[in-house]
Amino acid sequence: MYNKQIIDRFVAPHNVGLIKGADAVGSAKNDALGEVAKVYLTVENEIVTDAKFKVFGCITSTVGLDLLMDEIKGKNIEEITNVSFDEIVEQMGEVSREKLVCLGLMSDVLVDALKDYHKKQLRLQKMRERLALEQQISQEPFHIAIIGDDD
Amino acid sequence: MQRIYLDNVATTKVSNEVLTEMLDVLGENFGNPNSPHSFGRDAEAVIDLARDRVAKVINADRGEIYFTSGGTESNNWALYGLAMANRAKGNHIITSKIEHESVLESCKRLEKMGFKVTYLNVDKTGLVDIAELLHYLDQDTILVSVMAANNEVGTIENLKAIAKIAHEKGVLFHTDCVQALGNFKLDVKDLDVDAMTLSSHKIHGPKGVGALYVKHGVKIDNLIVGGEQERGKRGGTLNVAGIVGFGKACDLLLNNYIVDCKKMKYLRDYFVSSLEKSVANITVNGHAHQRIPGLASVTFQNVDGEALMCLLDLAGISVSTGSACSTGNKAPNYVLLAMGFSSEEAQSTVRFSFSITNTKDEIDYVVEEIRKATDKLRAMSPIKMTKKKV
Repeated sequence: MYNKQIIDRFVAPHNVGLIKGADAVGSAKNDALGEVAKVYLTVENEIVTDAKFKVFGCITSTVGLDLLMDEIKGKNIEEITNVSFDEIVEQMGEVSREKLVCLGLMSDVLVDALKDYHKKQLRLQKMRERLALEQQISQEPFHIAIIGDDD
Repeated sequence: MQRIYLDNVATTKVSNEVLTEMLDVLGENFGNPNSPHSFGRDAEAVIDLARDRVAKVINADRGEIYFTSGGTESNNWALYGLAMANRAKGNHIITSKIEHESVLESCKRLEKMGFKVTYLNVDKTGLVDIAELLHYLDQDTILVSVMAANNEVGTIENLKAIAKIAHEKGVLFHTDCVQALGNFKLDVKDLDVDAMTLSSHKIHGPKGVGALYVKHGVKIDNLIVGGEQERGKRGGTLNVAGIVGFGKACDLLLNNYIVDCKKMKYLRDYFVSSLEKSVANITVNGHAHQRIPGLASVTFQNVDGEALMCLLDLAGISVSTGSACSTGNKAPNYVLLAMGFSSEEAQSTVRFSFSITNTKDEIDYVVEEIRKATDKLRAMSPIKMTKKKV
């Protein structure tokens, strides 16, 4: 059912793990099959510098995700959802038609990761703005008004 | 690397004694048993012996045994043949949701032909709901078909009770005994069944041969036409070597099944207790007492069944799983889902089925490999475990 390529990669995947404090975390679940995947991305200057995943799923899902992590490293975060899954299937060597449904987790998990990245960036941006405002306020000279001065 | 086969529910190794008898027939006794000359008579003689052996193992008469190409054909024939022969009396058939596909697909085909089919629910252990059977039996019911032992979790159904209920309403009872033969005593008179499906390759006989028992007096239409073989009920030149093998396998069973069942139960129980000591968060499925001796269905929380099966295969261990991916289906095993398993539970269920040739040492090795594989797969999973550890 699986070729040697897929089995070798399944036995020794390159990118299983998690990244603490990841810049983007994406989750996806296939309700019909009960499979669950989670990806963790490090992003610097909009580029994905590291990508790890965890999965409760079959061999096809596991290998697909492992190859996907390699694929998105070095890419602009905004482009991760444009990754070609056909190329990943080609890299796997041979995936039967029935197994293609297992690869559905891949796109769902990247979409969720990108959403998470945007959410975190927005939160970061708001925090920066608040910090800047507080700094501005703290640098302005105090003006003490005594009530009745202009009377 | 040693190879350990723990998928005996799928098929079994042909025993040496069976092989010897088959080779003799394949080599020298090659006649067509329907031919009138001496070659034909020699072939007919070995068929007769095989028929006697198959009849004896289920306490039937030889005239009630019809050879087929296997369990699938026997099930197809039983459902179609009994329904068509009795359609003047009614058009309602009752079966269960956990039958083999050959029964379920036969029922779907009969539905397209105008029959009404009720699919009974089962509980979490796989037992058919008898109260539901009573509820759905009506004056149009002509046939009840319930398997004797389930192939996924090994649960043995309450056959006598089902037969009694069916017969009280004048309804025929067929049972698929493909998984039951060799796992407990089958006596067609004691069980009071009208038709019974049997298969050779689950009892260390060859593949491609089985039988349908049809009680004397029960009407059944042909499924396969075009030949007077099997007393005009099933056309086609008989698979002489296969039938001889099947007969020999039944003969060996008759003499050894009590001891064999004891051994398989011992191996299965040893496996389960060793596994429970080594691997946390597992559930053993099926009925606690009413199940075939050599089967252990185990759900491993947070472990994909196909992935576990693959890692075990790489360690030389052959098992099977209820996960969708293992069979190329788009959904997890329908039997497990019908028993109330969630998709995740079905995906995480692996079936281990033993034979008398397995050993304790093999089981020790298997348990250790399962432990290593589940540790690896659980470390890869994003899901947190919910129960306490061992």
